[in-house]
Amino acid sequence: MFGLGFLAPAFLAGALAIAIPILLHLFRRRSDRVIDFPAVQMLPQAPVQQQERRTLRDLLLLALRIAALLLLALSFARPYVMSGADALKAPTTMVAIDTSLSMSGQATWIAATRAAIAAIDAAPVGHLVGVVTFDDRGGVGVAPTANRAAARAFLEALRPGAGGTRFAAAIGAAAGAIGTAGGRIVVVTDLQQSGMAGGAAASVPDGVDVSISAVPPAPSNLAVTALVREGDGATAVVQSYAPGPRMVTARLRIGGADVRRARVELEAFASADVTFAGPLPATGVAEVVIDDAEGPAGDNTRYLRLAPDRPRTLLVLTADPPESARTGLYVQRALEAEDDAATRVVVMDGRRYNAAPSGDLPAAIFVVGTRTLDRAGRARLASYLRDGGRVFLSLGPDVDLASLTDALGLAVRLAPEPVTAAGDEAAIVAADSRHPVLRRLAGPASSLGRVSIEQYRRVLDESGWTVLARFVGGALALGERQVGRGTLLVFASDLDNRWNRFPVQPSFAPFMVETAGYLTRGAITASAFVLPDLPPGVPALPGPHVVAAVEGGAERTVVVNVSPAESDPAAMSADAFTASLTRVANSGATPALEEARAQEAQQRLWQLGLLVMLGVLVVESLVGRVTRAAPGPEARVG
Amino acid sequence: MAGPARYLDPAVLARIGSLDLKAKTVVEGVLTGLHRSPRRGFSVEFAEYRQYLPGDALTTIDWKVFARTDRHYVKKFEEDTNLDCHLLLDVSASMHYGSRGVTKAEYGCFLAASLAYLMHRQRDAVGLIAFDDRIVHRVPPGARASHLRTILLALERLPVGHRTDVAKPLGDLAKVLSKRGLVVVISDLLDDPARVIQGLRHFRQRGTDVIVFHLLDHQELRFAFDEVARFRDVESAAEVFADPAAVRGDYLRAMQGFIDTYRRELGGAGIDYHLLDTSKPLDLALVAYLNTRGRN
Repeated sequence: MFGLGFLAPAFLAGALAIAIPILLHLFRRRSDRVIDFPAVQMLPQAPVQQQERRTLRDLLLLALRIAALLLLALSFARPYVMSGADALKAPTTMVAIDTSLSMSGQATWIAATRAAIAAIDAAPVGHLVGVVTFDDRGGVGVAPTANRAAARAFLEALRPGAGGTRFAAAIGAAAGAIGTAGGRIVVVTDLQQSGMAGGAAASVPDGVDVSISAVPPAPSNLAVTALVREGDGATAVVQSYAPGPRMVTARLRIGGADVRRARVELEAFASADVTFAGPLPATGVAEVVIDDAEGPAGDNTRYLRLAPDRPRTLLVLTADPPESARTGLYVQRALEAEDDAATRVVVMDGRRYNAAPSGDLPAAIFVVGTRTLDRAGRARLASYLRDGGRVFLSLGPDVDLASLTDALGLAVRLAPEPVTAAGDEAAIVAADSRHPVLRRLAGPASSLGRVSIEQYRRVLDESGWTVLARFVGGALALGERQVGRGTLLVFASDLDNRWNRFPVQPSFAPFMVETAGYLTRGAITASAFVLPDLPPGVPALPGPHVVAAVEGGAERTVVVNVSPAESDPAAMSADAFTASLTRVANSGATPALEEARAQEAQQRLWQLGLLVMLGVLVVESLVGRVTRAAPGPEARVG
Repeated sequence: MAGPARYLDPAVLARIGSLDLKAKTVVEGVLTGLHRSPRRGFSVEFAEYRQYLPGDALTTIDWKVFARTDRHYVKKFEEDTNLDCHLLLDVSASMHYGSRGVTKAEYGCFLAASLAYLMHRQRDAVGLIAFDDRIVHRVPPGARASHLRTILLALERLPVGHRTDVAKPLGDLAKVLSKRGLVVVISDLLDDPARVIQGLRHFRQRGTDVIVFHLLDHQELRFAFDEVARFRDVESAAEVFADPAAVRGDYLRAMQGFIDTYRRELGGAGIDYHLLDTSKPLDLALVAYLNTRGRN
């Protein structure tokens, strides 16, 4: 089923302009003069046909003019052909069912599915029905359809997950599915308070009613909310969400077998630490399990990867020892700004790099000076880059231009002397603001444009370079290119606060962190994740998982745990939930709008509309010209 | 247009109140022009008496005068009033159309009055028949001085007629005409040409001279309208929605054919046919009449 949608339907009001030719047509018809004339019999023998022909011609002209105006209005309204459910314009009842961890109690889930099916059955006659499932994210399970049996079958087969709760995701997905046709959203949930955490208020378009079908949360819950390694042992935190004291046994399991047990006494709504003495194995995965039949089962277990994470090493290569010249200090501090225990920043001068033993390769090398690199050091750096390494090169005063080709394995044509910037030329302008390095820096609020550059090196040949940013004068400021299997980023000025004040600007640290993140992308070093924040490739299921490292690295074991916030069954009232909703004008929910924009951009019907309109105008001109063609008034008889 | 001819302009005539004055103005104006033209001699001689001279025909002696005066006088130059002139004036609704201030009916009245004045001056007996689809008014021919006034009065009081049916009154008139005469038809002839021509031929077959003054308005001849309009027939009220620019060519061809038909067929029947544009002076019509009268 297909229909026509509009990105800018307000322009359809322009179609009212068709009233102008219509009124003119009617006015002209009414104002046709009546002339008493004796020799009417001399007028063409088929006056009715003449009149009909003229009337038809007038109607044709009118139709053409109306068509031209309509096409103009349609083109400006940016039409697109909707497909499938987009074309359905009937009101829709969307059932948004909470599939978060807190709903996984058996009684809770049975009540939830029954409530959802009841909402489907109670949808008004004429409404389409659909199902949205949500935890941290919302997704359309059943697109708006008239087939209520399909929605019921989907709900009967649905099972809860281990994710958190975010009501905004539910409302957004449901409103997007409803589109502009209006309808109602029935949210089936336990109204867990954590669903409103983060201040993410749900926005509801006008014309969409929201009702709550609340299911009772678990009366109490016990959860293992943390598990960390301490010394050669491990410590777990058990949290009670029960109104009274509880006693529970915590078991430490390694390799599928219980290795430790501990009894835990918990006061009402209190937590307790459980320490399991070592020694524990150096590798593998440990898990602490408690038995709690009342609450969700997913938070009764927490996982720990016993092997420590291998840190990511970022090497800052300077010309002189940092102890003496303090070069590389700004880069080092910026890279260390990210509070990431898995990242280690090492500053090393060229002489040490020349003689350093071959060991673990750094995840990326930030080169601020090459002056002290000898042949071996340059070859080593070039080999690192060529074999897939990631190098950030700052073309400051400590870079030796004569040996740069050897150090990179790449000929970079540079002006022999640095350029002294003047006036507006001192600023940096992003050329590709969508690049990961600049995406968060090139916006209007960024201070990247206020970076003051006093000197820089001019790259004479930009062929082969992807320009990410330029100086205002047009010279390359930040460029990227592939060298062998490696990636080279070049900044055409200094990063030691000598040729510019960039290192002391607020945007410097974010710039370096983003650059480091970009250069070391895919290098997964963390081994423990909490839902829903998972890197690509890691399944969204609690427990240990073996994932493949990128770029041919070894497989790694990671563990995924549920969010501790999801274990708290505290619920809000339906009124509080309703009050938290924000009403917005019904311009279509964002996902639907984005999809519509994508469809419109792909179809480009507005161009076709304008083309057809031009054709219509040409035809109108031709018809009008035929109308005007006739003998002149000077002829007479006698 | 200067001098007497100025008074032949229909628009000027329309501002002259009295119809007899209009007629006199026209006729005198025409005759003034004719006196300076090679056509001089067609004018009317006035009757006079002179003494008998040897050689005069005895039949020309006026014996009544001789009885009163005991002298012989001959009635020289006096013509007998032996010609009945019938002015057939169309007063149908179509004749009351005029695009330039003077309707065809008014123009026809001017023409009829002028002809009556001229005929009366020539001592011809002149009568008037007004018609539309029937005879609506009739003044029998007469030559008395008061008769002219009767005709002029009738012309001033002619009603607005209805549909044109030239053939029918012609047939009616042909039945009552008993002697040779002259029939002057003043009409727009917006009728079936075949029937009109057939009716006029009846007169010719009886030996009656016929002059047809075909009156058409300027717009009827040129169709110089410039706006799309509904053209309503003044007699039948039938409407034709037309764009003048689009239909002008067809109209002019049809009108030319209409005129050519009359000109050709009437000419072939020995009937004088004169097309008159009502925006043009009346002298052409009078000259045409005098030419015809001069042949008799």
